Formats: sequence, C-alpha cells, structure tokens
Amino acid sequence: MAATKCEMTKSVDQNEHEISFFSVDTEGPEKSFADIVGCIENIIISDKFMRVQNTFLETYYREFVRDDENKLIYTDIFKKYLETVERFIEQELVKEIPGFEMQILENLLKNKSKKELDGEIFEMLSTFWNFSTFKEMILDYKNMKEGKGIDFSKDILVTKYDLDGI
Amino acid sequence: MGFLTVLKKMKQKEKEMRILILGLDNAGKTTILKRFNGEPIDTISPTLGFNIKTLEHRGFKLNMWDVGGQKSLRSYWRNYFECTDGLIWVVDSADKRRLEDCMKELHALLLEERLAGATLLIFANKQDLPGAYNIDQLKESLELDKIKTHHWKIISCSAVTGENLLEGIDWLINDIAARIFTLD
Repeated sequence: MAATKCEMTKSVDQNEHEISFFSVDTEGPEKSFADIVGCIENIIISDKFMRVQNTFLETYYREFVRDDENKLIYTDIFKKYLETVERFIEQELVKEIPGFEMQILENLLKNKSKKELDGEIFEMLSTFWNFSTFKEMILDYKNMKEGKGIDFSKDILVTKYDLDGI
Repeated sequence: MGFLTVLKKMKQKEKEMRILILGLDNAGKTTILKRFNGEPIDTISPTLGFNIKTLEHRGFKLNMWDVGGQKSLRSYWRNYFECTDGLIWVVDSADKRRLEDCMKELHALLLEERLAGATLLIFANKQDLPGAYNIDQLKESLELDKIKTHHWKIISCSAVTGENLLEGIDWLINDIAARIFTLD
C-alpha cells in the first residue's frame, strides 16, 4: 500500500483574486482541521497501522485470558497501546503535513463542540480508549493464534487431490 | 496528555459516569457490583485484578470499576483514578478490628488530586450480619465528619439482601449529575 497521502489544503488560493481576507480567516483553521482529520482517517486504515497493531498484539496477547475478571497488568498494557497508537498517528501526521505539531491539533480539538466531533472517524478513534473493545480485540487475536478461530472443517469438505480424475 | 485523551474528554457522553469502587479486601465490592448486574453472588472469590460492569439506570450509563482491595493491591488503585466521577467506598461494618485501617485508607484516598472532584458514597455493607456497626458508629470510627473536600454520604446496606443498594446509587447519580451536567 502506498504511503498515506494527505496534504493540507492551502487556505489562500493564489489564483482566486476575489477572495476576501475575511473568508480566509474563517475558513483557514476550519479547513486545516478537516484535513488533519482526513489524514488521521487514512493513517488508521493503512496497512502500516495494521502492522503496528499486529506487532503490539503479538507482543502481549499471551498475558490475556478469557475471564470476566481482569488482571492488573491489562491496565498497563492498555496504556501502552494507547501511547503506541498515539505516537504512530503523530509520526505519520508529521510526515504528511509540513509543519504539523500535535499541539495544533489539540488546540483545534479544544475549540470544537461535541456536535462537531460526531461521525465515523470519531467513532473509530473512540474505540482506542475503550478498554472492553481493546480486551476483545486482543482475545480475538489470541484465539486466532491458538487456532480457536472460526472452524471451517464442518462446512468445507477437504479431499485428496486426485490426479487420475483429470 | 495526548490528543486521544483530549478527544476522549471532549466526547465524553452526557449521562455517562465513571464510578470507582474501592475498600479493604472482603468488604463486598465485587458482591455489590454483581448484585447490581443481576449475577449470582454465591461463588465470589477475592478479586486479584479488577472488574468492569456497565449499568444503565434512570437513563444514565454507569461504568463501574471494582479493583481488588488486598493490601498488596492497593498501590495499584491509583491507576484507576483518572476521570472518576464517583467513588464508592465499601466497608465491612462487622469487621471492627480493621476499621482503623479502613479509616486511614479512605482518608489517604481523599488526598488524591485526581479524585478531588469525585462524589463519595460510603456503603456500610454487611448490615445483615449480627454485631454490624450502624451508621453513627461508623461515622465516628471512620472520622467521616472530618471530610470537607468531597460531597459524601454514608448509607447502610447489605449486598446479600440487596437492601439500600439502589438508594445509594440514586444519591450518587443525583449528586454527580447536579455537579456536572447543569454546567453545560
């Protein structure tokens, strides 16, 4: 997969002579927020992100067991996961958006109302800080690793390859 | 604080509360939690980690975190303080021998900065046991009248019979809601 491609839209279009300064001022930060969010979306659906996630799951899945009660160590692992995701998104944003700093995004976020933070991408992001979602994901990974995933053997009949039959 | 934490705080849903249940070991924290959740309470063993349950009550969504209370686990409690709206401190009202320990742990918790804004509900549990202290006796032993930093209330209850559990939660919800949601 190609590197996530996102660019900040220039808020002042040089060819647009009739643009007023007023609209530049109001549109500028709005546009860049939408661009950053779009960029984050591309990052978290990228293969590269999936690899980061898989490396994490591979490192820690053995600690987890399917039990109602959680071990105290899960909390540390969960915290590390959040930091890993955050760090990766930041690294990629810095690569993709010239002059990007996390502080810019945090400041933009703080000025938003709840309604402006609705939508699919924000739902996706909110799974990152949901402990139960995290636990489920890591247990699914564990099941897969230990061969307890979906068993197709009852639905698919596997037979010997018969050369004579051709 | 990373941007996900900023976003989390921004997106915190209305009518959603984070409740932390703490107390000495064998106080009945997990039993109370399971009681609320309608789960059987006859096979509960000491909690070595933590339990999470989400309760829906009166249109509120309560994310309840119950962490083990054994002495060796108490240093881990701090990992669960963040964003706590309500603290439920569970007391074994019949365990008079350990009330001083209980008092000390509670007052130490109340000094925690990250719990500064939390409402405190004290469940005087195990009222079904003979010889259990009543609320007035516990107020004195636990030096509750010294608490000036938090909204607090002590309610006698029994996790086994279910007595007064809902009354406690209702008070907690009302206090948190009055504090948080009227500001919007």
